Amino acid sequence: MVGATEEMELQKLERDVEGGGGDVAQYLALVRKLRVRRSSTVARHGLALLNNSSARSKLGADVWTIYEQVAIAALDCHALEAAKECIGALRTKFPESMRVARLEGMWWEAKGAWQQAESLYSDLLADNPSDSALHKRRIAMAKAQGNLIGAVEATNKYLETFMADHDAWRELADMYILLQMYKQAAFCFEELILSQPTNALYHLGYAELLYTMGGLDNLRAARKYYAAAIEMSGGQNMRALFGICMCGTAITQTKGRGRDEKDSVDLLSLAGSVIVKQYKEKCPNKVDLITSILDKQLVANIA
Amino acid sequence: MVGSTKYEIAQTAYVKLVLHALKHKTSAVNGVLIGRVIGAAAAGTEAGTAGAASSGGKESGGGNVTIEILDSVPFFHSHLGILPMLELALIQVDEYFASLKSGLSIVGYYHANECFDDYELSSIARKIGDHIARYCPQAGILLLDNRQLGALSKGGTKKPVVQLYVREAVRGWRQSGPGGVQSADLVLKEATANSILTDYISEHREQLVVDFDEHLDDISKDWLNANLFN
Repeated sequence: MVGATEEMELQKLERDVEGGGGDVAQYLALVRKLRVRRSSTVARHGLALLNNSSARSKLGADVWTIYEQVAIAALDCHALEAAKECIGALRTKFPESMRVARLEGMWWEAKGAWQQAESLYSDLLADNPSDSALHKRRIAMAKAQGNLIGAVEATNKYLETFMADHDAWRELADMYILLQMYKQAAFCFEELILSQPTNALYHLGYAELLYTMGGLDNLRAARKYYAAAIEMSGGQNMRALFGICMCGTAITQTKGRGRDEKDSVDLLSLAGSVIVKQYKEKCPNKVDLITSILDKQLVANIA
Repeated sequence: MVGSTKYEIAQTAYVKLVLHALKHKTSAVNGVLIGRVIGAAAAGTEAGTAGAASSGGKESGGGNVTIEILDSVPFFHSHLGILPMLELALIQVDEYFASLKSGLSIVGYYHANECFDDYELSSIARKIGDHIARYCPQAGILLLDNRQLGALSKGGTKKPVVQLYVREAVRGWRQSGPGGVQSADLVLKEATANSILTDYISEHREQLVVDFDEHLDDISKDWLNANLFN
């Protein structure tokens, strides 16, 4: 999850690099820091950088990190020969390294040679049972082969040991959502909220799951979590603002007649007015559309 | 089933949805198809009418039906199975096209799977398709076919790079063509569609596609993609 300012910085660097100028090493460093997936750009310009011996010599010790980054990006783009060259350079420099061996496993994965990759990872895990990245490669392989249930089982087992791994909880939630097991996905978000109670995006994700599961109690809870997300994001999060409106309508439809919570209408109209204000500022051509939709929802709620 | 059902997709709709899938190669994407139905049994096919639409066993008996797909709106590239923003997107798109008063409405759904070699129509796609079919009984689902897309870059194919699924009363969503629903067919309206697509791909025009997901993150981005084909 990348913040808005960082995203803009990344896009600017990317534009510079794609345009032929720009500092490729700086771009690669930012991609590593933000842990985003920009494999095509990274592979293309990273390889150019590494194949340029004068530019390469300026990188110092960073060059090996970059070899690893470019190898993975090349694998993501299915440029297996290029990846092999990078891995080869790393292997020459670090002949006994488990980290390089893991890259070789990923190369087998990219080729679709699951047996080879699996046996390599098993051997590595025997010597390094607490290496989380190796466990995650196995989960990734299960997912890549379409074995979602197996991937879920493996992730659950992984989390028994590495229970503070937020990315793994997120990944597990995503897999549960694909399987339409929303309650289990919600449980993952509960874990995330417990560990990081001020993260607006976790509250948002939880709210969306509650809404999806439906039913009056879930919808009311969803509204609370949407409200929390709005508070934590300073009213900037459009999904949370719209979420309040969607909840309002859904609650009325589920409940039928008889309003007992008057303040919910205030919350609804407040969210609505913030939305309209944002659209007037940033998307004026849709203001009429949004106003018309929100008015209909508000009327349906009061009626 | 007496008549045949032809789904004719204009290159605007077609190119847009393929570019959307190409922009987000590492995730599943979806969106809706916009157009009109011609020749169907009269009532219940107006834009947005939930009313007594023919459901269940009543096919468009008698004549031939054409579903003209004139545009597409890219929706999401993450969390396709989550409801609130999907419902919001459907409301906004429905409302927008109704306000144009041009007789256009949502006539279908498109989906591209996350995995390269996954050619199945997922249950999430079927569910969303079911929802759309409640408002437009002739709605079709288009599923991106990676084999065809690969063939496109190698040397041109005249066939659309998507598979059509239509909804049957009893058996649910089934693929059109031999072995499936033979009376339903998907055609490209313009013969140039695939060559335009190939050109746009080589120009990396997919980077310009804006979907509803991106709109929600930054509302200054427009899911109408008005400038995509300039």
